[in-house]
Amino acid sequence: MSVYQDPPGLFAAACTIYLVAGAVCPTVRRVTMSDEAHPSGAPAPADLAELRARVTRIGERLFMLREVPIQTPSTVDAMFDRLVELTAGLDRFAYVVDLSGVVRPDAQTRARLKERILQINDRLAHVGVAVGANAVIRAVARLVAFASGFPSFSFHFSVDEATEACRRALQ
Amino acid sequence: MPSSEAGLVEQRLDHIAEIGAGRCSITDAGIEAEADPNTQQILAGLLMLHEDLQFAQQRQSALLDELRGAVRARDEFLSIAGHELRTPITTLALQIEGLEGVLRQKASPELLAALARRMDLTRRQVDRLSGLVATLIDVSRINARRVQVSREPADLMEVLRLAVDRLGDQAARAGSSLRLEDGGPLRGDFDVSRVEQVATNLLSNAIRYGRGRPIVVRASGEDGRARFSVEDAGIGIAREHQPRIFQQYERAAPATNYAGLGLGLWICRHLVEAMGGTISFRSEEGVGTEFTVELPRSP
Amino acid sequence: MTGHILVIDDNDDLRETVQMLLESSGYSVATAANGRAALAHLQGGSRPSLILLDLMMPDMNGWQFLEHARGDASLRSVPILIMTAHQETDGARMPPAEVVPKPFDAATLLAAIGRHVSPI
Repeated sequence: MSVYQDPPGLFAAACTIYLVAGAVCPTVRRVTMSDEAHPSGAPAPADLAELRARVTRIGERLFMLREVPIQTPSTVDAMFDRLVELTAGLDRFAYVVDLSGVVRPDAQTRARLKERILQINDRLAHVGVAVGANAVIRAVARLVAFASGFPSFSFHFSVDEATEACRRALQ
Repeated sequence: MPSSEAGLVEQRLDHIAEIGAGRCSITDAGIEAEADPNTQQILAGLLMLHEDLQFAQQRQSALLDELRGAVRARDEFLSIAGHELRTPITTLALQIEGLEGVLRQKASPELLAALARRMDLTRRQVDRLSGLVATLIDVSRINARRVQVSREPADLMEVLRLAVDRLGDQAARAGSSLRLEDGGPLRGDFDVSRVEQVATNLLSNAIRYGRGRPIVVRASGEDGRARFSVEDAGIGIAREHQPRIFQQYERAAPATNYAGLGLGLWICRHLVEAMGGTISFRSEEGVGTEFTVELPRSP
Repeated sequence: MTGHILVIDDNDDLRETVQMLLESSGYSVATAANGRAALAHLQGGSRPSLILLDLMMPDMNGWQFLEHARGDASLRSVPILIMTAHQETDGARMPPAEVVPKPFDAATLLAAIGRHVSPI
């Protein structure tokens, strides 16, 4: 899949495809939404260390977040706290986030992500998101990116491509 | 458009409408079963928008509950504090009376004369404290919608005369003349203490903001209704403050100049309405203000 | 004039009570109900040894009076004690002057005054 920036128009276009597409849509049952069973609460100290270890510096002003499969507001806080520590004093930086293997996070977690990204918006140059082949995760990433109000996100198949996009943005 | 496609479009439009209605027909399993990744993205996006909507609504609901709880707690506290304060104030008032009694019996005329002024001042502070406590309790009652009105046959003119007499000294100290235009008795069934409270409040305001100029109280009535008004030639109420003048905690005078709770007119409005009446005013900044209260003569 | 105090407060009863206290402690006292009245009184030529100032008053409050006093060469040297129920925690701007918080007792007030001026 290619690198692309995501202007709002693309989502609208995708919606149009959804409405008009001739593809046969198998059963989408009329069922009411069930609550997502997600664990919540602060992570244990050992886990906290592990979460923090997932945030690393991979170059000058360049950082990497390897997301955990099941995200919660606490895991989001743990990792962003670490990112803020590592980027202290930098007026500009970019990060790569690896979402391959992530399960679709619940509304509360997504809200927390938006908040945390908003807080670093003024110093953020770019976010490169590796989503693999997962269309659902691509949708998650897009929603969170738009909601956080930050204009420079890109979505990629692989971590390498995402990293390259960040390096270019930092030049 | 072929009919299968048209049917599909209908189905998709229904999904979107269900989201808008707060229901949802999209599931994770359903998304996974989708063959087309673009469609998957869209369905996932719609599902998440629905979740976000629900989450926001839950948060709002929780916040509203918290807010209501906080307001209830505040009014509860005001009520308790007010009632707690009444006991030491009562003791204080009784002791002062007692002091005066002992002095009158035992003190020499010289001592009495030397202490007379101090006793006056002391007694007056107890009255002030009582007044403030009564305000706190009124506020908590009004907020909890527990205002009770008890009517009895009375003469409105007489009630106003009492209020005017009570505040005569205060008006004099401010330099304002205070006059009641006596148009004869105005009989009816009134909640005497509440009417007196409202009249006193309006008179206090007239004195406070009256610039030492004359204050006039008038009353009149016809079948079924009676009214009274308090008019001053004081600083008036600025046009931009007028719409909010009866609101809780509203202060039209700059807060750094006039101390006060900003509750007087809010309380007045609620008491007048509890009595089945209306309160209104006309005012011009720099010219003066007139408040008018209209009450039914019988319920 | 040594031992002469000007008390500025809009509450009649407090003004009178403080006057009674100070006079019985040997000070001579003048009073004013607000900033404007105080300035008028001072313009008449009187120079107090100390000013007791309330903050919340109509027709020129304590903050405004302080500004005027600081700007007046003859008043700048007069010590000013603020009497107020306000604290910083109320969100009120506290003036740069010594504060005697309300409610105060006689001993506290007299001690604060005594640090600046003695009775006549």
